[in-house]
Amino acid sequence: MRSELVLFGKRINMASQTRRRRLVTLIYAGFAFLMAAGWFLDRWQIVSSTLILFSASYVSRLVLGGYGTEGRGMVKPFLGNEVRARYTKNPNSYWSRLCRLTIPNVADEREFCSDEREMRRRDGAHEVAYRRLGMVVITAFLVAYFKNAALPLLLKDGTVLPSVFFDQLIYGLLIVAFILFLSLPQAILLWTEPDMEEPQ
Amino acid sequence: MNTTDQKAPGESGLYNRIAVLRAEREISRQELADAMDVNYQTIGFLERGDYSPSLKLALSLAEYFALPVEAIFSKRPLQPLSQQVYGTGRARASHKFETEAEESK
Repeated sequence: MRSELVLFGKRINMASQTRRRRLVTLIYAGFAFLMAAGWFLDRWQIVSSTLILFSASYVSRLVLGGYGTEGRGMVKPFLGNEVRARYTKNPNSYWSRLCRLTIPNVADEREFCSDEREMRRRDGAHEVAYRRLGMVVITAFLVAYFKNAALPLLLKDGTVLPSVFFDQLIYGLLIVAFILFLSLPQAILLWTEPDMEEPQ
Repeated sequence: MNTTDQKAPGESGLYNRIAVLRAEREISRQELADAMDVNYQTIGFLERGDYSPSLKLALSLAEYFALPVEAIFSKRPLQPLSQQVYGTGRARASHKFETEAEESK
């Protein structure tokens, strides 16, 4: 993980765990605000959901890092070691030349690759994120199941519930799952990494 | 120094002498990290006992310090190096001398 966040050319010191936790809180507060705004705007239909999904991708790439190989954001690329190994194996291949053009940090091993502790933490964060994400997806499934299978049996007398409400809820849960997929492993890493020390 | 006085290891459950060896050889965390091909923060985690290294890293550290692995890492509290070199009697006498000197101040 990097101790600095470079945002629009400005370097922000993120060595302190408190600062990183504030950043994570701010990001999820922003997503919560967007979700609420999206509900009021068009019930998470095309405009708001597109806005939310693009925002999540943007924040993930630019601030959190991890996904993608540009090497931006706080967290080093999750696949940095694999990409770097392939790059160094055959540096003259077309693929490696393309890497040099598109990935600014690919030649800088320290900036691009994770060491064994970082890899272990990366895997641990993904394991936790996987369970949280699973809960959201299962909840979305249960809502769909309730709407399609259980509700018609419960309402035999012909009472009609607004099924659009359930559709919106499922849609909202899937948007939440998308946000978590793009941000949760990095957020866990930023939240749990202790204060970073200066090299002595 | 009593061996039981040694600070409990962190999350790893391992005691180690990396900080002492590094200080003895006057090398920075960054220098050791560069030699081990890891992040300097990983050296800090190792020193505090918050991270248990892979076998490869442990062997690399042993090779770097030219010591056996068990001289660097242990599941039990490690004796101070001076005590190991000079023996418990002399170390105890030295400890007593230091204590008396501190008391007399």
